[in-house]
This record gives sequence, structure tokens and C-alpha cells, in this order.
Amino acid sequence: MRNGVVSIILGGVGGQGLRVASRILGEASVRAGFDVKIRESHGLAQREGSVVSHVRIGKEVHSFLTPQGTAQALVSLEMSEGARNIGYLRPNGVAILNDKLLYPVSYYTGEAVYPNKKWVLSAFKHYGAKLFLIDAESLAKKAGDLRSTNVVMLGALAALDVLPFSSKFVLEAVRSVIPHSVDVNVRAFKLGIEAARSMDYET
Amino acid sequence: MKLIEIEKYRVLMTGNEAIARGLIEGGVSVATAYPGTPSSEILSALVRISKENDLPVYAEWAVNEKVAFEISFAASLCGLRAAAIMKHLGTHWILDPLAVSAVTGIKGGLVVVSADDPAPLSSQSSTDTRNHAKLAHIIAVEPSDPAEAKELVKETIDISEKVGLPAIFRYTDRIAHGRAPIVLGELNEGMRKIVPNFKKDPDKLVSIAPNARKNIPELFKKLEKAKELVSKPPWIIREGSSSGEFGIITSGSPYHDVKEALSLMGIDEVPLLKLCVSNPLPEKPISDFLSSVDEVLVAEELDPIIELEVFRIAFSNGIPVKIYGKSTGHLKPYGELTTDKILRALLLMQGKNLDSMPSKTVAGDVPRRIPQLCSGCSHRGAYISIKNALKKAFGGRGIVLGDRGCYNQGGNPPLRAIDTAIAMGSSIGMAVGLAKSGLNEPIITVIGDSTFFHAGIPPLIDAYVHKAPIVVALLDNSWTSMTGHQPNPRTGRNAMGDPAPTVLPERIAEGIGIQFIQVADPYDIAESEKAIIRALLAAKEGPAMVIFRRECVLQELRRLRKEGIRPEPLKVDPTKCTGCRTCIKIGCPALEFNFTTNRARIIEEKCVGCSICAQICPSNAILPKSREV
Repeated sequence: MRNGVVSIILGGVGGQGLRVASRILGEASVRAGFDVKIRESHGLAQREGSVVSHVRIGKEVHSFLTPQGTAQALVSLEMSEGARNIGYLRPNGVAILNDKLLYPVSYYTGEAVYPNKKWVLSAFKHYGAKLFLIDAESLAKKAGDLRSTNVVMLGALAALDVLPFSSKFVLEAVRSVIPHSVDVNVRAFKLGIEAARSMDYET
Repeated sequence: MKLIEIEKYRVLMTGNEAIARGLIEGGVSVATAYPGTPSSEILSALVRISKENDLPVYAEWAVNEKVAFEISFAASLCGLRAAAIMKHLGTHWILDPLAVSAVTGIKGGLVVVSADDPAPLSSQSSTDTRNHAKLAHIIAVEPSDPAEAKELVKETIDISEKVGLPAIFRYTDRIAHGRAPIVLGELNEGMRKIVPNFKKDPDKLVSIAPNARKNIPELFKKLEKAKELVSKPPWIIREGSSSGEFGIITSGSPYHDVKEALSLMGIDEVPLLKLCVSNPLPEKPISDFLSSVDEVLVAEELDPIIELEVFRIAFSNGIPVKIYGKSTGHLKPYGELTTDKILRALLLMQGKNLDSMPSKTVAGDVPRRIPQLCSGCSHRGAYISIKNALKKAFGGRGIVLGDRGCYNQGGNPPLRAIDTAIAMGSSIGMAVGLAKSGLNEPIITVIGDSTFFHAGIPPLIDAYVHKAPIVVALLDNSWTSMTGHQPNPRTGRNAMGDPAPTVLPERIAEGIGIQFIQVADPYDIAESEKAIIRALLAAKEGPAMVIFRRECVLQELRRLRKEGIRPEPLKVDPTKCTGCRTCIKIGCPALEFNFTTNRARIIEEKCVGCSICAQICPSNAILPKSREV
């Protein structure tokens, strides 16, 4: 990007740990000596709403919001929320999706036709994104706690050369933002790195 | 959330935390607020910072914004620096005393921190509170990001005190909830050693008309003084080349979107005037700027307040500059401004086509994820009971007027339990209006405890005095939950974390003279239904009240978790479930439906065992998890 800003879009559903994930990226950026701006959705965390964070990192970051079609990476803890935010991603951008689809109540009541997994994958394929589909929940469980799913996803992001600093800053930030369960989260982070490194992206 | 100090003085903070820090660094010793997104986190951050640093700061969650302002105004009259914090909608409630405080003048710096919500993301309208500063003839300040917000709120307190006028510090959701690195400053401990001194001054402070007539010209002199003071940085900043074909005047967070757009277009050196004040506007720097360019775009969020002044200044100074903005349709007077919108305006100004602009592709195709009441929310029980009562006793007829709070989620599908949601306390006044219009239907209002104390009591008195046949259903969960569980008069705790007396709404209703008052447990659907039916039958000659009393489940769970207790979840017996989806239609996040097996299922991790679904299941298929099938 012209102004050297790296934009990461984080998507998901309330309660999936999105705000913690964006804070970790923010803390990592400050530790690595960068300017950073983070925009988070508020107020719907416990209420089953969509949540999205914009994390923008650079020498000097101006806007809190990512212009359409310019984000280097989209990380989504839920697949359909990834599709919802796809317009922010630049063509050829990196998309890391947690292999998890959460249906809203309107799907169960029959009021809404909701995308399925196949639809989401084809949307990303059509868009031309470099797609990494990761079963982050299983990896989090393997690390010792389902709640570390967000950290697995950050591990995958840190492995993919999108961030303008090394993964050690992210790991330091994980330790500082979630000080009460460091071991589990360090394992989760490493499993995320391994998962992303072991796969070729799907296009 | 505890702030994490990364380097010595560089801390990642939200705008709300930064403003709290700024108020403390600016020497505020009295801070009041009524919770409202996006402003809600300031006061709790302010309490935390003052406790961590052992500073003598008084903070209060006031019963409403008007009371909050009046407390801070009085503190200012004693010479202390004070702040009243609220969302934009709250500022509408304070206009009467705010305008008078401008006439009487103030002593200690007094700032009204007002969080606007341009999108809006969490408000019923998207009002621009800079208008209030024009209305009350006071100072209006607006920062562009969290770091600037912290510095500018200090400057605002200073200028308010210097000029003797209150100031509105208008910021927006993006700054409130945006996180950025902040450099910490001194805590200004000396400022809090001031001894309060209320100097009697009846010619000013008894603001009856003859005194007001004398003091109003003084107010305009103060405003002129303010105008001089804001004619330089940090209030007004010039960037880029000293002249050019076109320039930009901007304020608030759009400043950063403008910078980003210019950088994307590769024209960083465009002349730019950034205003951190919108009232009073410094005229000379603006006319100088307008003289240096042929065309100008005015980029501000919401109303064209600066823009119209720019038109006036250009006209009255005879400057032949072409002005673009909201008046010309290049930008819109609603919604958040984004880099994309500014790029579009700049391309339009240059007569370029917009084909190169990226557009949203798939996003529009994913249906909205509609927010629901939480799993185990007591409001769900109240709503189901009201619906059932109207169905059983009145053939489904009836109007349910909602109010402002968490319970608005019950208006969403699938529950669709309310017919209106307007402003704080509006449900009861509108219920009187429906009844007095002669509407021959059962009329029920649904209002939360905090909203009742805020604005529900005067209309309840009105309903009683005018014998309005309505039922007031009070959803009493002891907390102001929607905005993050602030304490209210029901809670028994204050903003400082100390124990506080509680107020029972039924005592208020009794005092008014209301005859039918019943307290019901919203987890008990049968009892709650009966209470509503009885209240509707009793409300022939005046209002009846049902108080649905149960503490917010999130607070209860938080407490239980500390004791290591997890409430027992429920399960669906698949041999009894018929797939009718009655349970699904109550919108509980803990329920899902498998279309393949045609059975409902309870998500164990989300279920808190409230049993509302079990009570409404026509096949009795929902049981406690431990029960053998």
C-alpha cells in the first residue's frame, strides 16, 4: 500500500474473543515500535451479533477504518462473518478462516436463508483470496482450552508474512494480554503457526 | 480492563480511557455521568485511574444526564474543575440548565463530554451535539483521535475556566472505541487541593429574567474572548502547501480519513485546515485559508456546521472560492465519514469517473446476524408472559410500548415482542397518549429499572392523575445492563464501588397512589402471565403495575463463577421432541435446530438452565441435564 499501512480485518461472532485478539495485535505493534489504530465493535458481545475489528499498523496510521479492497489479511473466527467482510480484502489478500459456521436464530426459525460452508468457500475462491482454512477449535482443544481459538488464528496470521514484524512480538503480546493462561496460549499460538505453514493456500 | 503499560509512557488505550486520563490530567475533581454507548466506559476508567493514584476525585453515576450536569455545574461554581459525561442523546436532556449556565457563567472549568454516534451503531438517532454549543452559545471542541482527545480535553477544561463558559467536548464512536498508543502525562495533583468556595452572587446565579437580560450580553463578550483564544494551535492547524488549486477544511475523525485519502491519491501536499473547534469559529484563519485556494471541500461528520460558516465567511469577505461538501451533495449529512467516501468526493470534484472505486462484493449477501436477548435473560420470560396473556385473555389484541435498554433486543425477530422503542421513558407517556386517543385495546408499557428512574416517574404520575388505563411492566434486573452493568438506584452500590441505599420502584408507585402493584418472577411463566392478566383487568380507572424482578443473569453468573458454581444446563429429550420449533421461536442463543433429524438441541455451554423453554415446550421434551430419559 502507498502509505505503508498494513490492515488486518478480524471477523467473528460476539463471545469468540475477537477484542482480545485485536488487542494482542495492537500490543504487538506497539512493542515492535509501530503506530497502530484499532476499531472494535462494541455492545453486542453477549448478544449473538456480528463483530468486526480493524487493526491498522504502520509508521504512521491515520484512519481507523480500512478502505474497501485494501486489507492485506482477513482473519475470521467464523466462516460466514469472513464472507460478510470480504469486501475489505484486497485481491490476492490472505484470508484465514476458522472452519466453523455458526447459524443465527433466523436460520433455525426459517426466516433467513443462510450461507453454508460451500457457499463461503466459493465466495473466497471467486474473490481471488489466498485462502487458509484452519480447524482452529480442534487445535485450541489440543492446546488445552477451546477459548484459545483466537490465539490459534493469530498464530496462523503470524506465520504468513503479513505483519510488518516478527511473530515473537505477537507471542510477547499474547503473554501480556492473557497473563493468566500463558502455557495454553503459547501452545495454541505455535499450533496456529504450524497449521498455516503446513498448508498451501487454496485458490 | 486494566491498562497495560508497554513502554514507559506509551500505552494502548481506547479513546474513552484516554479521555478519562485526560480529565484526570486536566485536574477534574468531580465527574458525573449517565451510561450510554459510546460514552459508557469513561467514568469507570476515571474511577480506576483516581483509585490507582489515590486521587481525591468524586465520581457518580447520576440518575440521569440532567442531574449529572447540575452536580458538575455546582462543583464548578465552587471553583472545582468538573465534567459531565454522556452520549449525544443524553445531552438533549441537559439543554435547559446548560443554556442557563452559559448566562450565569461558571468558575472551575466545566466540560460536557458528549459521545456522538454518526453511523448510528447504538442509538435511535444520530444527532450532532455541536448544535447545542451554538444553541447555548458555548464552546464546542472536537478531537480527531484518542491521543488528541486526551490532550484536547485538558485544553478544553483550561479554556472553559479562562473564559468562564462551559464547553461541549464532542467526540464520536470511532474515537470512543478505537484503540491507539497514548503518551501519559502528569496527574495534576495540585489542582485537586482547591478548597470549595461557593461565593453568593444572586445577580448572576438567581437567573430570573431581569438578571438574565443583564447577563446575556456578558455571555457574548465571553464568546468573543473565546474566539480570540481559538485562533491558533491546537484549536486550528494548517498543513500542506500554502496555496493550491484546491484545499480541504476538516474536523474530528474525518481529518484522518482525509489524510489517508490524499495519501492514496498521492497528493499529500494539498492545503489543509484542521479545526478542533466548531463554536466559536476563528474567522480570520478561515478567510485566509479560503483566499489561498480556488476550490475547497469541507469534510466534517454529521451536520454541515463548519461548512455553512465557511459559506458565510467566503461570502462576507468576498472570496471567490468554490465550496463543496454536504450542501453540494459531495458528502452526506448522515453516517460516518470514511476514507472511501472522501475519495469519492475528491474524484467527483475533479470530474473523474468513479469506476475505479472498489465496491463491496459479497458482504451484502450474508443476512444480518440479528442480536438476541442473552441466554437466560429474564426479559425473555416477561415478554413471553405478556404475549401469552394478551393471546389468552384478549384474543392477541394489545399494544406493547417498549423503552430504551437491553430489552430492545426482544423487539427483534423471532420474539418481536414490542411495537415501539423511542426515547428514555417514552413508553409511559405514549401509553397515556394511546389511551387518551380512545384506542380500545390493552396497552402495556415495558420499561427497565434504570430507565424508569431516569425518565419514567413523571409520566407515571401523569398516567395516575389522568386515570390512564395502562399496565406498566417494569423489567427490574437491578443493573443498567445494556451499557455494561453500571449501578443504578436499585443496585445498592455506587460508581466508587461503595455500598449505597437502594430505591424500590413499588414504593414510588405506592407513593403516587397506584392501587394495583404486583411483583412477579419472570422465570415463572404461569405466574407472570397471571400477573399481567390481573393487571390489565385492574387497569380500568388508572395505571396498574407489574414488576418483573430478577437480577440480570450475566451478573448472577459472574457471582456464581467466583464461587465455582455452574448452573445445570437443560437438554432436549429427542424421543419427546416433535420438531415444532416453539422453543426456537423464543430466540434463545442456547437453542439450535437440526433440520436433518427434525429435533431441537440445547447447546450445553450456552445454557444457564433458566427453564423458560421447558415451560413453553408443548411436548414437555426439555429436562434438566441430570434427569434420566
